Amino acid sequence: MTELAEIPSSRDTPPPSQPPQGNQQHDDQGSRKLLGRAVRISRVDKIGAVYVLAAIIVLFSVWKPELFPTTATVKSVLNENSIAALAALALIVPLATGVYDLSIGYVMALCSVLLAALIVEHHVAIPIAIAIALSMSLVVGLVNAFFVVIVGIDSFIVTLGTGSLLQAVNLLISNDETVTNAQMNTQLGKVATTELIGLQIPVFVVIGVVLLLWWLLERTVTGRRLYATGFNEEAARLAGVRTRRLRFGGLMISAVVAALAGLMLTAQIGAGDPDIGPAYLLDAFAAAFLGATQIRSGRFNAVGTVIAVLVLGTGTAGLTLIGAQAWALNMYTGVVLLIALALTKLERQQVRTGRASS
Amino acid sequence: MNGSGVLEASERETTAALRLQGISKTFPGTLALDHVSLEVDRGEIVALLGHNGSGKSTLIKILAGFHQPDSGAEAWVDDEPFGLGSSEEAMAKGLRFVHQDLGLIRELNAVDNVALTIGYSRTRVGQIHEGRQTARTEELLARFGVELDVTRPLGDASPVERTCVAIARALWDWHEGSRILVLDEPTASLPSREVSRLFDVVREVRAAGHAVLYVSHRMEEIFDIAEELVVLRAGRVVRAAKVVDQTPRELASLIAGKTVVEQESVARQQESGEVALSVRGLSGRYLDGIDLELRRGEVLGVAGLLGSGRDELPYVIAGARPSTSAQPWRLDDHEIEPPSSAEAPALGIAFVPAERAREGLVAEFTVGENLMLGALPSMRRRGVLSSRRVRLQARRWLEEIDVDVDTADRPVSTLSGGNQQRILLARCLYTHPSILVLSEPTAGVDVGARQALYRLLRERAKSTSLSILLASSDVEDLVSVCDRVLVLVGGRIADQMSGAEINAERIVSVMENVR
Repeated sequence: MTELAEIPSSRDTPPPSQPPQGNQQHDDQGSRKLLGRAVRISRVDKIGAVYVLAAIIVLFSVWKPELFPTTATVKSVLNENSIAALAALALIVPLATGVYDLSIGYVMALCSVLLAALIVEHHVAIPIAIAIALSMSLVVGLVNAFFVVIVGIDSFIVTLGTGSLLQAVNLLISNDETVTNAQMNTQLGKVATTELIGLQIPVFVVIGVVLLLWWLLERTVTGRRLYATGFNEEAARLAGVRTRRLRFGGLMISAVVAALAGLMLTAQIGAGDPDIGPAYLLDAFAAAFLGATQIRSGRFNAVGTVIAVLVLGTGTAGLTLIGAQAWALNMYTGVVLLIALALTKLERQQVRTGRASS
Repeated sequence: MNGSGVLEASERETTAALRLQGISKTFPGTLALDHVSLEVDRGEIVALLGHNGSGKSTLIKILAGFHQPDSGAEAWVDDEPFGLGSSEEAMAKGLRFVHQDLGLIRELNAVDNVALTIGYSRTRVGQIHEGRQTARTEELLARFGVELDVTRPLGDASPVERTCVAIARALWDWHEGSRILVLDEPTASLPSREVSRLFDVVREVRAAGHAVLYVSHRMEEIFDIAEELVVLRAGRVVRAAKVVDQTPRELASLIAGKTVVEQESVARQQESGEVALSVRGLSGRYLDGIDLELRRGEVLGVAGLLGSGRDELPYVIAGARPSTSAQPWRLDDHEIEPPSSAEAPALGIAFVPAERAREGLVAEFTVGENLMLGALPSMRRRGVLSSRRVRLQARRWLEEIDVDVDTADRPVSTLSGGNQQRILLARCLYTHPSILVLSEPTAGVDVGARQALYRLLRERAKSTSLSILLASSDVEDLVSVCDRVLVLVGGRIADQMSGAEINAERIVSVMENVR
C-alpha cells in the first residue's frame, strides 16, 4: 500500500545527486558532487548570517575605507571576541540536550579569583594554579548535574541558584577585590597576549574548542544522541538512549569550557576579578541561539555559534569605529538577534506545514 | 460522483441544519476536496468516514473557518446562506467543534476550563465568584449527564470525562439556538467501555434537536451511533447512505478504496516454540502478579480496559517503567534483572511506544535520523559517525518497509501517521531484536495501512522467529494478528485464549464483565 499521495512534494523532489550504491564514482560525478555540496552549503537559509557579515563588512569598508578594512581590525575583532566565543561555546552542549546553564558567568569569575588567590596569596606555580582552577569547574559541573539530573529540578532555576552560590564563594575568596601582582600580570598574561601570526592564544583556543565540539556534535554517536535528548527526551529514552547521562555530561562540559573562558579572560586582564564573568552570559546565549539558526538550522552547533559571535562582534567593532554611542551597540545586537530568530521560525513553520524543505 | 444517498433538498420535508454543496479545495499540487456535498438534519447524527488523507480534516477545517474553499462552494445553515472560511461566521451560525485534542488545559479544573469559553461570574469588586461559577459548571455538566469533581484538575479525570467536558463546553449556550456539533474523532483515545458514556452524551445532544457531524475512522461505532453516513476517499464522496443499509465489510472496502481481503485466515502458530521470555509474578502500578511466557515466533496479544494493566505491561517489559517480580526474569534460559530502557536493546528487546509523537519520534530529526536512532553505533566508521552510511542504510530500510526512499532527508513530521508508524517499527526491526514490544501500534493508522502493518508483523514473527508482545485497545488488532491473547482485568490475567479460540466477542465480554 502506498501513502505517497499524502506527501505532495515527494514527486517533484529532484532525484538524489548521488546513487545509493556506488563506491567508485566517475570524476565528473565527483566534481558535480563537490559543486552540489558547495551550492548546498552556501544556501542563504543555512548561512544567512555569513551574508549579513559580508554586508556589514562591505558597509563599514565603504563608510570608513581607511580604518575598517585593515588587518588590524580583523585581528582586533578576532582577539577581542575570543572570550565571548568561548562563553557561547560553553552553552551549546547543554542546550543541545535541552538544558540551560546560567552559571557559566560565575564559573568564569570563580576561575579568575581562584587563579589570583592561588598565585598571589599562596604562591602556587602558574601551571598548577591553572590545573586547580579548571578542576574546580568540574566540581561546579557536578553540583549542577546533581540537582538537574539526579534530583530532577529544572535546569534554569538550578543554575540560577548555583550561580548565586558561586558569586558568594567568589566574593568570599576575593574579598570583593581585584587581585593582581607582577607575576599574574606578566607570566599569566603571556597566556593571553602571546601572538602567533598576529592572533593571540585565546583565538587558537577557540578554534580548538570549535573543532572539538563540532566533531562531538556532528560526527559522533554521542552527538546525535545529545540532539535527540534535547528534541524529545522521552522518545530518546525509550529508544535506549541514556539521556540522563548525556545531560550530566553536558553540564560538565559547559563548566569546563566556561572555566577555560575564565582563564583566558584572567590572563587578558592580568588580574583576578570576581565581577568579570556574568557580563558575558547574555551575549553568550544570544550567540548560541543565533548560531542555532546557522549551518544546522534548529540545532545548536559550534560553527554557527562562532559565526554568530563574529556577526555581533564585527558589527559592534564597525559601529565603534564610526563613533556610534553605546545605545547603538545594544540596539544592533538586539535587532540582529530578533530578526534572525524570527526568520528561522518562519522558515521552520513552512517546513512543518508540509512545504518540503526541498 | 456517487451521490445516490443524498436527497435533493427540495424533496425533503424538513430543512437541513447544514447543507454543503460543491466544496472543493486545492492545495499546491493536490486536490484535497473534489465537489463534496453533504447534509445534516436536526436531531440527526451523520457519520463522516474516511482514512487519513481522504480530505475529512480539510472539510472540517473549512467548516471551522481555518481554510477557504475554492470558488463555487455553497453552504446553508437552516436554509440561510452560510459563508464558509470564516470562524466568526461559523460560530454565529451555531457550528461548534470538538477537536481530537479537545483543547482543554489539563492543569486546570473543569470550572476554569469551562469558564475560558463561557466567562466568569464576578463579584462587584471584580473577584471571581467561585461558588457561583462552580454551581454553574456543575449545572452545565449535569445537563449532559456528566458527574465529576469539577474542582479537580482535568488531568485527573478519565479521558471520556474530559471529552464530555469539552462537548458540554462547546454547547454551553445550546438553549439559545440550534447547534451543529462537529466531533472530530472523539473516541480515538477512549477505551471501548467508556465509548458508551460518550455516546450517551451525543444522544442527549441529538435528543435536544441539534445536529451532529461525527467524524471517525472506527467503523463499528458508526453502526451504534449514526443514522446516516458519508464516506470520503481521495477528496470525493464515495458513499452517502443510511447506516442500516450498509455492512461493515462494504464500508471497509469503500474507505480503503479496494476490496479488503476477507480477514486473512491467520495461520496461527499451533506448535509451541521455545520460551523466549518468562516472567513470574510481575507487579507494578497497575499490574498485580502477572505470569507471562512469550515463545519464539509467537505474537502474544494483551487486551484490557484502561487501568487493567494493558497499557503498563508493554512498558514494563520494555524496561520503560519500574516493576517487581516474584522471580528473576528468564530470557533465553538466562536469569536477568528487569532491564532499564537503556539496557533493553542490548538484551534484544525493542519497543514501539503508544504515543508516536511524544514517545517515539524526534520531530526535529529527519526520517533517516529517526530510523537510525537505535542503531547509531553501527553507523560508525573508524569511530566517527558516517552520515553517508546513515543515509545509505536509511534508504535501504525505507525501501524495505515500502516508504518513498527520497523522504530520508526530510523532517519526519512531513510523513503521514501510517508511515511514521512504519519508521518507528523499522527502527526497532533494524537492530534484529529477539523480542518486539508494541503498545497501540495502530492508533491513528488508517484501514489500509493497518493491514500492511499486520502482514509485516506476522511475516517477521514467522520468518525470523521474532517474539512479539502487542498490547492494544483495538480488539481488531488482537484478532487479526495474534497467536495467543491475554485479557487483563484489574492487573491480573482474567482469560487466555489461543488459535481458533480468539474472537472479539470473547475478548470483549471478558474485559467488560469480570468485575
